[in-house]
Amino acid sequence: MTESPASTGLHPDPVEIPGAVVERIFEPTRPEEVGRIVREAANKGDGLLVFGGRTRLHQANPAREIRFGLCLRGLSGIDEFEPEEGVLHVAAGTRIREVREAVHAEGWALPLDPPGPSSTVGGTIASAAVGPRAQSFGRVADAILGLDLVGGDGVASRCGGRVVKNVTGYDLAKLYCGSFGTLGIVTGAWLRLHPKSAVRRVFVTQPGPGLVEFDRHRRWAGLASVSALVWREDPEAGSRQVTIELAGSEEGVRHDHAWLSDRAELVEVEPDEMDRIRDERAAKGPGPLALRVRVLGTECGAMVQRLLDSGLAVSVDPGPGTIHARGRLAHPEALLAIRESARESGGLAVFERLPDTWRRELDVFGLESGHAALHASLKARFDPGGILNPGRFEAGGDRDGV
Amino acid sequence: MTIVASPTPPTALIDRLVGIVGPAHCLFREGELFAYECDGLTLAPRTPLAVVLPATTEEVARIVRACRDFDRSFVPRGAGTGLSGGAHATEDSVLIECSRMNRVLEIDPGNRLAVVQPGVVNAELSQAVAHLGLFYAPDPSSQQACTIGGNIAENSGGPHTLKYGTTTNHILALEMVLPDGRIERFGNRVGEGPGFDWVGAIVGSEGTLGIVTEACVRLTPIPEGVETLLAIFDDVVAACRAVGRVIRSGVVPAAMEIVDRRTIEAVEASVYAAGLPKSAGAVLIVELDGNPVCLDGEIRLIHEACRREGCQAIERARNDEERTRFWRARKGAFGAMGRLAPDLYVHDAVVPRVHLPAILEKICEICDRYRLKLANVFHAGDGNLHPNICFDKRDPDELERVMKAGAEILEACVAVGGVISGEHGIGVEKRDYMHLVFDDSDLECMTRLRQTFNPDAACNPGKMIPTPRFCVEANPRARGYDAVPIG
Amino acid sequence: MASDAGGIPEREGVGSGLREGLRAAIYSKTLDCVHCGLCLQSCPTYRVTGRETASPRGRIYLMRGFAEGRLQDPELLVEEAFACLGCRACETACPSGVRYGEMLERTRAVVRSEEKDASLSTKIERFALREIVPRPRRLGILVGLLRWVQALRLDRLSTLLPRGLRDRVALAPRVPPRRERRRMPLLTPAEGVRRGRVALFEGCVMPELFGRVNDAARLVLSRAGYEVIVPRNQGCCGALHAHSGEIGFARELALRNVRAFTGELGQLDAIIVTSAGCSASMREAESWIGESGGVLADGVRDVLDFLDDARPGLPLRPIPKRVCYDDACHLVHAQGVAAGPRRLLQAIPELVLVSHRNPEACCGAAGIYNLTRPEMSRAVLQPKIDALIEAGPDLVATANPGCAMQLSAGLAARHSEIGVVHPIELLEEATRPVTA
Repeated sequence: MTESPASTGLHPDPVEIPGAVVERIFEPTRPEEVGRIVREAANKGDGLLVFGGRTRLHQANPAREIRFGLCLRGLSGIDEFEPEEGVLHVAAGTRIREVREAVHAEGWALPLDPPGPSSTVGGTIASAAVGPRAQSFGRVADAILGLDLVGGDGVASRCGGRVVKNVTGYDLAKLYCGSFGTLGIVTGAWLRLHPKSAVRRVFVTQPGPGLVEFDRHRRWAGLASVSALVWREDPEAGSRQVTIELAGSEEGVRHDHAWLSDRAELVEVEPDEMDRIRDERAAKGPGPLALRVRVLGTECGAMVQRLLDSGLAVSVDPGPGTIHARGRLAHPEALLAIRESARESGGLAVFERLPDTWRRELDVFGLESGHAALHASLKARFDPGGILNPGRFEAGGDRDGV
Repeated sequence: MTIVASPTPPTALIDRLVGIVGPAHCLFREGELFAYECDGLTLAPRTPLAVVLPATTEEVARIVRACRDFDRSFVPRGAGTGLSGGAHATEDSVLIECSRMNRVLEIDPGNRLAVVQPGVVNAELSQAVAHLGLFYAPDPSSQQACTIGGNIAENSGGPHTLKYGTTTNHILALEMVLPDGRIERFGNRVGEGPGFDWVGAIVGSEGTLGIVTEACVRLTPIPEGVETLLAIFDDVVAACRAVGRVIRSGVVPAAMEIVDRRTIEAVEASVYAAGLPKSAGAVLIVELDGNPVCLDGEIRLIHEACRREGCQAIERARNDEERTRFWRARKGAFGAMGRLAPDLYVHDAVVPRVHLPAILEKICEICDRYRLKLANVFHAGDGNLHPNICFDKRDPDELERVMKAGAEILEACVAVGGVISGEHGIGVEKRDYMHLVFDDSDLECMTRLRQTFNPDAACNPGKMIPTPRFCVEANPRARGYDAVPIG
Repeated sequence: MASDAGGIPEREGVGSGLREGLRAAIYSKTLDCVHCGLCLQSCPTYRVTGRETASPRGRIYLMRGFAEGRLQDPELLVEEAFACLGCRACETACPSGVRYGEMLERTRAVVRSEEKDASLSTKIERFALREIVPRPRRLGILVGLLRWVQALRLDRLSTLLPRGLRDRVALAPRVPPRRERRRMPLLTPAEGVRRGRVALFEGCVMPELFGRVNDAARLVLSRAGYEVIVPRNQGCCGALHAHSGEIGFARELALRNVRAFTGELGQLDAIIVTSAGCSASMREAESWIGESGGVLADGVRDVLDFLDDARPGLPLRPIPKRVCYDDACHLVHAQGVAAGPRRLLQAIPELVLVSHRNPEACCGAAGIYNLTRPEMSRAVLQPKIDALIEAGPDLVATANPGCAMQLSAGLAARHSEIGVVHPIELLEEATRPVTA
């Protein structure tokens, strides 16, 4: 045994997460090594923190009994890319940016759009992170054709495949996606690509205040060539702006641009403006709080107003009904009230950044107590030793697991 | 196969079931059970112990609890149009038929969603929301008869899934009766619940995790413009290459379907004749939809792709009548083939699209070698093949050849990176071929999911995961399906 | 063909005569069904019960299974064979072209011929079909009686009857006054430019209860340039009997009509029928009376289908009404006629053709099904009435007398003002000369 966890030295760049600082970190370069490390950890019952680009490490519940870090950045690269087919196989630690550029060169687009320039494929899958283009790209799971995994017992397995249509067995990829690495470690993925748009143009416009105005823009988000529409508003700065990205064929973009120009004053900006807005969502501040709220489209305007009234700044994707809010609130109860209201509006609220003092009281995800038994049973079967990201994706006893 | 005598019907269980649903909705006479011995897959029929037709979620839960009390398994069933035997019962299981749970409970046009019971018919949901300019996008070929509940179980696809995705992309939330009789809700109306994506795992689970009793589904705006093209090629290889070119061109058609020469001959000789020329070696149907201003440009790209592969002719439907005529070549295939022999085996496999031409040649070679009547119609855009084999299951020799050829076809597809089902599911039909695609550790992960919901396999036993794995669970209730019995 | 049952192992026991009969009559046809289930939702009895056994696929499976000896007890098969409405919507839905209607009729015939002790209701049904329906004088007396009952409002006394009987009484149509029941002239000359010559088939119930429909057809045809003859020795078409398994008697009736229409057929463009049930059955005469049925099969045309083809181009007067066209099963499913009647109605100025849900679904009349199985019939009828009331037309037009009676009764029960007519009545009104 050449790589026992005990033999690992201190990592030059330790990871700080809510509840722990992890200094001993493995950085395997082959999937088989991941299996070996996990088996070893499982035998000893050592908790592992699994991570990639470190973009969303703060977006989970505090870790419990974590001994080692497992960094997947070493598993990197596009192993197979079939431009004829529009599918590729990529190692989990590969940066999204890298994949995006590689497929662009062949006329394809990667339908993964997570905030943060250092996001990796594995991290994006584990956190199911989407960006403003979710309305045209869909969910992360929609891009996944198949996954390579290492389970909590260190055994490698596969699910799905490389073809674009597949009902051969359970759709396990759906479970792994967004489970924050607690059911298995994604080491590689088959992804399906979208055709790259012939034209991409981005415009900003200054909307008026109020619900009516917001709903107007929500409807615009439904235009065929609108790939993303973001409404940003900061009550403290008194600023309000809408950014619209049009992408598609020349005719389609021209048509929608003309239609929009008749209804609003559009100012064209740099074509990568939407990427900037997206990555801004992964950056820290302003304020100690960041939350993501999802509600039904028809409820979105009212929720935005509520958040603004609380003094939070918002960055909203009205199409899918996603609101990113930041700032500060006086009490944790105010957050719980927002979550309750989001639930009543058909959705959910995830507390992506919290002041450390609030973490003990709040569950980042708002996991449903009704599913606690199923959740625990599934986790126990996929990770019998409970070593994969322990505590990170479960509601603790002292949190609001309602 | 010898006919296995049903165990003596447990009258106490029947009495309890009758008490739950009423005498009119609990069937147990010989003829009644006989008619329920199979779904769309007529191979491997098995007679259930009883058939119950509940009307509410509560009734389903009570039926499940009754079955548990009497230590019997239970199998959910929609319209019984599935082609992999997913709704086949065993001799000691109760079939829970959802056909009476057929109400659309709510339509929310503002958020483009509907809440339906599982027995709502796919096409009728689209009809019910058409006046709002919406439709339910997944369109399996059986959409006029199949139910949303069955679609959820099988993660059904259809010709238009190329652009719109399969059932899993259109289900937001579910209510399900768990195999222990509890009623649980999963997901929410925005399609993103907190915690694991249970909905994603349940869709396509072939009724082995529980019985879906309500679904919140996404509705899609009816596209403003539709264009249908029909291109005629000398052979199927050229048609497949044209599909590759279309994919490479960046156009995402709503559907791309190929009909091969053997199918064209069968269709043209039948009442479904679409007026295709004798010289047609393959027909490619391309449907485009969306903003009308974009369609002309896309049509040009399709023309270009087809011309480069030497297509004989390409037609554009000028009206709905012509569109129907184009589709007749595709949709009439099943019926036209069905008339050629008493039984029709509709296969289902997927390969990477670049391998389509080679795999089609291989499939023809296999069927010729086994002296079987074969025709191919397929969702070319997805690489989803449907080799149709005509046969007579009363002829044991022919049946054996059909099964052998089927196995070889699956092996050939897997060898080029494909899978053994694109939309029909595994059920009992392909359960024993799962090893072609997945090894033991892959199947072990699937078993873990099933055990989470259905630890003793009381709900829909014997489906999807092959037998050895099944025995591992050491469940006496899980008897049956040792191998797919034939005949 | 001696027997259809190639390769079935012999099996003795219950209902062996029935089994033999089915093997010979339908077994090979059952094999056409590939069990895809696309027919299910088109089946009215499946929609009401949700049961596989009450669906076309299930019924065929029972027929096949019993013939093969895999199903032992014929009880359910017999039950289901007669619980079917025979609307044949499944044939429209079937991708494999399975001829369900034919299988059903043959199965019923085999069952009837094997029946030792018929039930009382079967006996009554058989008596009515044999002794009243095809005999104009007896039918006339009965209808006359009904007219008196209605005139004296004695039908209100039906509230005293038990539910089942009361519902059947409610189905009885308003009997038209005697002048509408008089016989039509033997020959009506063509008006204007003569385009041809047709024979008009009167039917059994039609002249008694829907004489105005036959007369409307006669007038429209004549205005369209056709000389119309009404052969005297014609009679009931036998459809109801064939549907009920009384195939022998049905054959006698059909042969009588073959004789009645043969003499003149040489000079005829068509034999025009105003009842979809009759026209469907007569067009399929070859399947039950053999080659001699060709006379009817080739000659018979439903009046609406014929007029749509003929396109006489008559001047049309406006009829400012909202009309729903409800497809008669035996026109749309048995004959594939759906667009023609709508085209004819749409051509009438100011007439608004209103669409309603599932116009091609069965109304539950199904010959005498509404009398023999009133509960199922009512359950099938309800969604139809709901759809019509929702659409809210002034009139619903349907091309079959049984359907017209059923719809009238259903609408009346819901106190609806919607009237029921035969499309040809509207065409007659629209083509009426201005001076008339």
